[in-house]
Amino acid sequence: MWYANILAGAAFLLLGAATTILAWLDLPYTADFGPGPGFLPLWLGIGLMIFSIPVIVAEVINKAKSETLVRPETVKCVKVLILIVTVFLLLPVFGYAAGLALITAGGMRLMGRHSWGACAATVIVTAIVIHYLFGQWLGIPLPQGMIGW
Amino acid sequence: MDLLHNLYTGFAIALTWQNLLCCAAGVFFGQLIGVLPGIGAPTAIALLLPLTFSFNPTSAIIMFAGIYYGVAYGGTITSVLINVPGESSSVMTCVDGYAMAQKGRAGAALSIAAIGSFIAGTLSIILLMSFAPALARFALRFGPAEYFGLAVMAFSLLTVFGSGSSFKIILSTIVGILISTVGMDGVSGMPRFAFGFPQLLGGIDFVVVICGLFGLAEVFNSIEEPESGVLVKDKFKLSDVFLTWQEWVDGRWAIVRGGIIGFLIGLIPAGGITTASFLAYLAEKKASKHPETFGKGDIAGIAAPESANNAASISGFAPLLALGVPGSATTAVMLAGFMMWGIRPGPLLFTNNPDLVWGLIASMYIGNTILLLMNIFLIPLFVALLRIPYSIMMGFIIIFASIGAYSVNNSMFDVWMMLGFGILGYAMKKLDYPIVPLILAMVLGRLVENSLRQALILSAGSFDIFYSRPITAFFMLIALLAYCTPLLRMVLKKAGYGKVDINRESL
Repeated sequence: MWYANILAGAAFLLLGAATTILAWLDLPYTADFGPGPGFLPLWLGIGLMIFSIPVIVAEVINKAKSETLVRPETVKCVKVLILIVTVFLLLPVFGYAAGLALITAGGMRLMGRHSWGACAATVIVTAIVIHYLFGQWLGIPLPQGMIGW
Repeated sequence: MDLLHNLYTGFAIALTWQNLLCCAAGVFFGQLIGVLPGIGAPTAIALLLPLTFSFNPTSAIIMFAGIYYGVAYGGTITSVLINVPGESSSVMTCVDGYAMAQKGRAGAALSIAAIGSFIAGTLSIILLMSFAPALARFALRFGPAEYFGLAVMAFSLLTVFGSGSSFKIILSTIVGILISTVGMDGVSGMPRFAFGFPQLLGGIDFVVVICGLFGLAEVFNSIEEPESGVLVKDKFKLSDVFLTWQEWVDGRWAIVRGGIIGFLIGLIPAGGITTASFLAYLAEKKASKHPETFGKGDIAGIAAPESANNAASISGFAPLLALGVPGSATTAVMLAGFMMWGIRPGPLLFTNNPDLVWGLIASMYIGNTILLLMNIFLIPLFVALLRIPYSIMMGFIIIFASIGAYSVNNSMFDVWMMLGFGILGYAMKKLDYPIVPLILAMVLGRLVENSLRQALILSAGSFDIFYSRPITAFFMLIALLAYCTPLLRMVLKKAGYGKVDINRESL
């Protein structure tokens, strides 16, 4: 996992550099009576760069102690992430209540060995609960889809 | 007399049926969350926060406080029964709790934890009542420089009490402050880091960040590292929970000592309930005449950490209420709640919102009593809940996080942003970057920037203001020492003083 840690350290270094440059170029460092809107971001950027270097160095030195980055469970995480992204993209079609309820079925199939019937029942009950609990009772204006709630 | 009058007013508020219901619901949900894996107190409060927009602030805060100290106990059930801590604050309870359960005394282990939590919690409330108003009066002397110093001290203490690399803690803190700078600058009105997105002009909402970092990221982490354990006993009888006289004698002083340690640690910004329970366990082992029995089912090894984590969860309200500085991720989320309702915790809270403060404090007495009764009579129910498969629960956590993020501005932009923070949180956890500093820094970010700029305006740009004023200088000195702690640890280690790490990773 050492290379992932080095990459993370490098990402912080880059974030620091980008913040420093943006603050330096776009935001005034001083204002009429004191520090300006660019004052803190500039120093935060510099701080990010300074403190990311020891992290990178430490990871390079500790190469032998590293663990595996991608495990069999990591693949499951990726599948759940794809499920979430797909559902979010489909929300305009299914609507918020019915769309989000699909996540339960997806989760049950991906993570467990539940039957399609149990999944369908869970989706219907969850959609009804979301609609009435959040939409009606708590008054959150959940967007409606083309074919559902 | 003032104290008694305030407490009387507090009870009058806390005993209204709405507040009583919120308190009972909070404690129940807290217990439930503590039992269920993959969801903690900050996550639960973060997910519920947007749903309480329509609540009376006092009722909502009472409920959230109930969740907080309910969770501190809930994690005990899994620690004792399946050797898996439901919460990090219950890690130490696993050691002796599970050993007791294997000896057939699971009921007694859970009982001493409940009684200890109740006694230490009550002790902590009494101390909080006396201490918090005095702290608030003292904090009236604070100006921008003092607030800046206090925030810096809180950040620095994370390197002392947090686990893992100090540099990673500092990086996480800086990122948190950086996130708080996104949006319109409070002084000049100039947009910062909005990149042309009008949705970012108002800043990144705290609820969106915590729904992602705690809600979604926890789902990914729980999938990757599922908690597993073997349930010790399937059925519990009420008679199992009664302690023998010897067990009570062995545990009573551990409760008092754990309570005092917990109260003191809770007062320190960034102290946290996990540190409190860890230190209480170590102190109890040192104080014991039979330290060799620790780890083999000593009842004092359960009483001390459980008393400490409950006491710390209550005393953690002192810095939040009196100074407006949260000491943990949960109180940070609660601070966001206060802000959402337009209430600014700090020294003036006791004079401007006495109903809220004293109603909250009085509700803690009620909540602790409910917690005790619930833990004695509802343990079989919580054991049954351990059987809910994560494949079902996971979907509900994602739904709550998505609705929570959406409800802030009724915008899908926030939902996508929540997903982004979820991935960030997952990556951070995987690569050992702590999330709590990021959350604390994000909540305190505006306070840090505003107080820094105001202080520098007052001093005409001179940095002398941060070491010429005694209170600020004291905070800065503590911060300096705290940031030097990793260096000190390294020197001590090289000098042959062994491991001096005081975090749970050093177990």
